[in-house]
Amino acid sequence: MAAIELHGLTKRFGAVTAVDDLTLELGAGTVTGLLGPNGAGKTTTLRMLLGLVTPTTGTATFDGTRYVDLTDPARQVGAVLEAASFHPGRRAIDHLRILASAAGLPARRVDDALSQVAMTEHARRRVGGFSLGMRQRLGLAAALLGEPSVLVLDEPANGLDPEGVHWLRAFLRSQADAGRTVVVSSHLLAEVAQTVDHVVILDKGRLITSAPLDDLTTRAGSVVIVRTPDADRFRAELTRRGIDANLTAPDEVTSSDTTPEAVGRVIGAIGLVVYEMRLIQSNLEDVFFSLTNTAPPATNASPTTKQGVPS
Amino acid sequence: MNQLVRTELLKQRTTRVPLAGICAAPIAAALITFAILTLSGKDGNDPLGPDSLVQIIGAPAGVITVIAVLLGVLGMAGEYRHHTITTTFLATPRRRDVVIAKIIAHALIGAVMGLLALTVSAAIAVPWLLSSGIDVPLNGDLVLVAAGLIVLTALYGALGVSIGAIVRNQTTAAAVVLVWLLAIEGFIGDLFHDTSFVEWLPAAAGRALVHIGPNADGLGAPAAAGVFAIYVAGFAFAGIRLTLDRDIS
Repeated sequence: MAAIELHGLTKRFGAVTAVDDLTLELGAGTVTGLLGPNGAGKTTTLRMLLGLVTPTTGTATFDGTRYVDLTDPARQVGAVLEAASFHPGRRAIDHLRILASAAGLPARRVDDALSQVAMTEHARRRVGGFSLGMRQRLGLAAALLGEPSVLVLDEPANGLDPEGVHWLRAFLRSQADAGRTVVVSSHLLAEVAQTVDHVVILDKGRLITSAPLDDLTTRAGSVVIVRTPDADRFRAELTRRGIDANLTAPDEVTSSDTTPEAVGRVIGAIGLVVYEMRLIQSNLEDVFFSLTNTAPPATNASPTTKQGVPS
Repeated sequence: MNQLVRTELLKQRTTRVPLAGICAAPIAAALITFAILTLSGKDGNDPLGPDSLVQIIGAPAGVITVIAVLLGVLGMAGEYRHHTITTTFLATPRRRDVVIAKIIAHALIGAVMGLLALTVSAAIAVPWLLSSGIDVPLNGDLVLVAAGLIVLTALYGALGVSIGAIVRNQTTAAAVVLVWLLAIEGFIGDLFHDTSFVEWLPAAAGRALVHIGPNADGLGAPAAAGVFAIYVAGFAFAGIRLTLDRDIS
């Protein structure tokens, strides 16, 4: 049985359909990235999954059971939905003590959870003085209190500085290595790509795709770009050998659906002078923008590039 | 349920405002008691007499019930304001149990406030009256007022939670309570002063719980407690119903 199942999940707020007939299954032990542009329905989906928002129609279950019907929810599912879910005047340790008490968890779990997110030294500080990154960590500590097998995290990287994002990436990886099922929604695609096994893309409340990350990026393909003073001859030679090639600049040939090794063999065979050779692998961002028919931000459009020259 | 009530009490112990509110009850009682004792027999006030202790013990009710109801409002609506309602309902998805636990916890807090106020008032007034040569009989009226004060502050605490569950916005909920208690019910009382209808309004029923004795008017203590409890139960039912149906988004 899938760890998480959504069946025909729909939520309408008046005339607005936030989530539209969403059906998908997420396997146990996977790290799933829930992606989509603003307003795609990610947060509403997670809140329906966690029993905070009532679906208009459909069901959302953990191992076949709705969250509100779980006998011991804190031990089964840990969740972080927003970084602001704290009373500013309360100490961090008290926030966790309250949640542990409500969930019937032993008090020692509070210290353990604080230690897991490297917050032990801040335990007695009031949350009002915390940075956003510290609040995110405290939220994660709360989610870990019951040592759950499933973690649901809504935009956990929001507002984190680079150090915080780095820490979060390592944290998510460690949770995955520990065998937990993790669902993480994010708009920071590069961060998600480094962490997740499986990707679910939503747009306008609808499921666009649900697939393993490798499948998605492989499906989108890659190109090899070669810069050479003899570009015309090189393009003709590639085409003659059945490799799709185009002249993308007077001194640049771009070949697709091939590998650097195949292109390199052609270069060696004809003794071509090469100034530069690049492999551009389609990444999650390319896939995301392609599937959601949106354009990448102008400052965030650089592809993943591996550079090299043939020997 | 016991665990949830303990959790709610822990929430109140770990922030400053509830602690300040609880401490304010005996302080207010002390100030009011001193005021009555020192001003009696002056400026047209009645002189101290055998019935003074009953009046003194009931007098702080007006202030500490307001504190109790506001703490109840903060205890419920504050969860929405600080978005802690999300983590609360994640830890305990059975929302009805959460609201009931809050109602019980704030009733207990109100009862403690009433008890503290009662103790302080008595500790000041009894020696003062005895030293003034006034007899302090432990009669039925005294017991009823003392018990009424504790019951009333408990019920006001529960009422605050219920209103906080209905209104959610902390400021609006507090304003609704204060405007009703301090203005609207008085206005209704002025309009219908010659009918017994006003005795059945919530604040009037509450006052009747602590104003028994020779000069009391309105409902008797048991009826007043019953009427006020029915109001609280009605608001609690509405608060729970709305909380069950509400999306936390």
